[in-house]
Amino acid sequence: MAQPPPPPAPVESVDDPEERLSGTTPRGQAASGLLVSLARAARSFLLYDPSNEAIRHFLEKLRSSADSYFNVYGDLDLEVRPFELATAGEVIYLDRDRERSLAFRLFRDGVRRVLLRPEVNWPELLKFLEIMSIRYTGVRQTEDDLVVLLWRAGFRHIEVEAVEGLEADDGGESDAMIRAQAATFAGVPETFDLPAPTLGPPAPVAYVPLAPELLAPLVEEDGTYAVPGLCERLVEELTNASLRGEIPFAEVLPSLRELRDFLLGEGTIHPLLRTARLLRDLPLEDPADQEGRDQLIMTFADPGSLARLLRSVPRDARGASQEVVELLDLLPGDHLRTLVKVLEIEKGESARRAARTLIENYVATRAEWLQAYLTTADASVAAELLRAISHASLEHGLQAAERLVERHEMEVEFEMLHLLGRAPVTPQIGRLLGRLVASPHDEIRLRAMEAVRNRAVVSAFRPLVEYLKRVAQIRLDEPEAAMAGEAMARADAMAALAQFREWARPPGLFTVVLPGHVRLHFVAVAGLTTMPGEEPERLVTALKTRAEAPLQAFIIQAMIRRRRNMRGGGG
Amino acid sequence: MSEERDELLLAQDQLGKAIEQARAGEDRQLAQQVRDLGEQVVRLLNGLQRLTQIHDPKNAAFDQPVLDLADALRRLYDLLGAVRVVCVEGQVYVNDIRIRLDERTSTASELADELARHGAGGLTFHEPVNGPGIRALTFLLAAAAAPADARRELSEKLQAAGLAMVTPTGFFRLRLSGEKASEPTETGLHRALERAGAVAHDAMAQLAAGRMPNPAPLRRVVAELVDASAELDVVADEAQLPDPEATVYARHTRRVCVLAVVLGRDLGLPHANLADLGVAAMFHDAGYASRAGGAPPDLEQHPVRSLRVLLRQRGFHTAKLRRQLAAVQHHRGAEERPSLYARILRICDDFDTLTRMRATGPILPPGEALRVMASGVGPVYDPVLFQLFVNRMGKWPPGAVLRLADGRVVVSVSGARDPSLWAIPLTHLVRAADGRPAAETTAVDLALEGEVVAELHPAEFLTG
Repeated sequence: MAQPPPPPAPVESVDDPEERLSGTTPRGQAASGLLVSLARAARSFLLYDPSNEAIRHFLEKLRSSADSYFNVYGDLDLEVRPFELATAGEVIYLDRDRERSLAFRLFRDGVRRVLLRPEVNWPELLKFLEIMSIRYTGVRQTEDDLVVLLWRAGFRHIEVEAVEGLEADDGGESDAMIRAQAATFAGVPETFDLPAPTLGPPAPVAYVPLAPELLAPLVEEDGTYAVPGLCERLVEELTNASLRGEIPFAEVLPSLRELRDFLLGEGTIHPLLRTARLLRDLPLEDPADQEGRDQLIMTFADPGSLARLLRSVPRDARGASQEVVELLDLLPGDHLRTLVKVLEIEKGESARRAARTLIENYVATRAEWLQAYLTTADASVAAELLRAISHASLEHGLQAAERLVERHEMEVEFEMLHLLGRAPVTPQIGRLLGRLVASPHDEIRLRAMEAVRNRAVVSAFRPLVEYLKRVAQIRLDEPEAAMAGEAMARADAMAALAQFREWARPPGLFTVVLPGHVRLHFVAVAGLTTMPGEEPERLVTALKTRAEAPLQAFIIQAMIRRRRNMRGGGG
Repeated sequence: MSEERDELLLAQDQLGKAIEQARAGEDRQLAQQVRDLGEQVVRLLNGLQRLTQIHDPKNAAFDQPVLDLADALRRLYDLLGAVRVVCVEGQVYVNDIRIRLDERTSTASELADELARHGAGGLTFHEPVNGPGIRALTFLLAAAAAPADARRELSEKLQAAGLAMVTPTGFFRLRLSGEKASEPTETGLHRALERAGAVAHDAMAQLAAGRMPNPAPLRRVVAELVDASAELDVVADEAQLPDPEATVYARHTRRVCVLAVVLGRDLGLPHANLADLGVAAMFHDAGYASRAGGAPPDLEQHPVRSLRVLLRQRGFHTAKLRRQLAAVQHHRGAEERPSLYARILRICDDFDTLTRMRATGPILPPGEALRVMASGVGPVYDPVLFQLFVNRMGKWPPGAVLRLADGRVVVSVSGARDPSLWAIPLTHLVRAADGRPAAETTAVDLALEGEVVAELHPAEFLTG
């Protein structure tokens, strides 16, 4: 399928009057460049999908500006002010827009100084960028503010000084009120955590060194890869607590949704599958709880959820995994519609590929629906659906292609070409190819003609000739003329020879030779020089004697090729 | 160039994944929803106040805006939990999200002024408020402010009107001056430990009042403890901290937090994860704040009650996930394979339960507690974690009261300083050989002098 041209490099919003390069000294200006690059890179995750090539541009810029600064000037010691960042008193960053400003974001969360040492490496800078980006994009920020995130990063070459971002400014009245409120708290009963655990008689203890291999598995339990498993366990705890009547299901539901969202985002299909099964099999009695559960289960396979799941399919995967199929089988609902919706909303290639392979499972039973749908679908969706259908069933694919003959979008026609290239040659194929040789897209026409030539599609001959007669009056460049001639000759040699004879016939005394006639001469030459026998060569030679320079040159080249092929040189 | 491009691709992949994770539970529309609803709430709050200047309370003009505000609050609550409206320096924030108001209008300043009359810089809605409640709130805010202690007065009126779920908050400002990050010193550590106790108590009080768990104030103090644990003997310092103002529960929570962080560090958990573990420890008994059924839960009930309380916090975060599992599983035996944090907390929690000073003294002295716990290794306590704990605490953990061969009585003030000194702690003199109490703090380093002949029960020698 033709790939769209790559997006142009993003135009940096230098027209933003608030954020611009600052600094009065060379050092200040270099530092300013670095900070502006950092701010823009952080904001780019708001504007673009994380996999977008534009982001790479911003990362490149950040890296080069960081190298430019640290290699020359060393430390970058930043004083954080409400809308400015300054170093040694020189303002090197200014942006008063509270939404965009890197300075305000830092200041708001309590950061007052940031020191980047020249040893700061690229991974640390990326981590710093990640933290800035998260704070730009995060909404539920009750867990971590910037200061905590920066602390958690444990930077070796970046130091931060911070205060409480927002502090009470009422002479201690807030503290006093909180204390008063806390004092009214009756407190935890003295018997908390009692009775004490019942254990056996004392056993000896001693110092025993522990090898790192013993500790490593436990540390891994706290690692990132363990999180999906922990989600599953929490789902079990929540659902069990609900079944025991300890926590109302309505209170459990929001957390189940969050856990589902996380598992979907991770694309960890096994925990997701087990979670879906567990929820489906939950023996809830209250109708309201059942409804809540059912609605939750439905969301496992809504377009947004599926899109997220499919996004995590690796680039090199050949399609969605069997587990995804199992998950869909587990869940009620019309997943075909959902999958088609995913194709409509999802731009990532691997997710689209995964959706397509899932759709293939439905072709046998829902071919009619799919074929009807794709006639009105967006071009890219129609193309994907055609591919899915034809992968599953050539016959259904051809039926779908028939429905698409009036559509001339490039993606659709490319997909049709792929399909026709796989199908055995039949009059139907010829008819469809015959439509494609007249495509409004140059590349499609050429490839269609090539297919006619390579597969000798007889039934495409007539449509090709009709097309040539029409288009020759307007335009027909050499490559296309050459391909058309060869295609005619291969598709139906006898009919082609007759047609070429007509086109190559010398004009009458009073006949005006129109440009269209000359263009057809090119076609004829291209076809004739691939045909064995004396007559084709004689016709070409005759044409040469009255041809003008361009056609003469074309004839010479074509004859050279002919000689070579006849000698068995191939090519 | 190709290698550089590969590096950039990898960086982009990793960043993208980290940001996707951070966005987990959110979709791209969420921020916009929150902004839109937040803006509605602010406009309606302000608009209702303006209406009070024109119409009397029963006027139908209030009906729709009241319902709209109740609806917006409810929807915001469903998304975020408790809703905090804060006016700071001419801006209005809803749950840390700045509300973009048209700067040509004076909505922000009008709302700020109205609240300021009552000595308030904001309002927190801990639960949704219904229509009649909104109407009542509107007129309470519109009423004349008390001449003194205005905010407290307003708070009491809100409670009296059945609006305890709405609390006026104080004024806030963005602090300008910086403070140098604290170096880990004994004094700094003591302050952090005292603050940890206070914060633990406050957190429980907030939970008991039906508020949402808020890890933010805990995180910073836990971070200080984590930093301190890298260089100081925080276990010993915590054991010696007098802190008479702290409640028993606060001291327990703090101690479990310190023990857990140290155990986690010895295990080799990364720096950031130690903070998560510490915060999990601070919340591990949150269930005791629950009064469902009219009474605090018992031992068996409190883990699941803790989970229920922690469910109030919205938004996915791996720290929250681990915290919730730790809370519900921290009394389970190791054989049931509870989560790592739960297994860590089990050890620390039980050790404190057995050794905590009570009115009748601790159940067991520290050294004996370790040996009794050792009998539970396997079914109750994770063997590796327990051994790490033993290695750290030493034969005579901090607080162990020891009789020396010469008749002196000392108390351990250090854990294991070194593997070779595992059974030889630093101590302070409690009683001289003749039985007289020590007049002043005198260090007795058992590595240099003295031989332990018995561990004594602390109740005989220590008070409170």
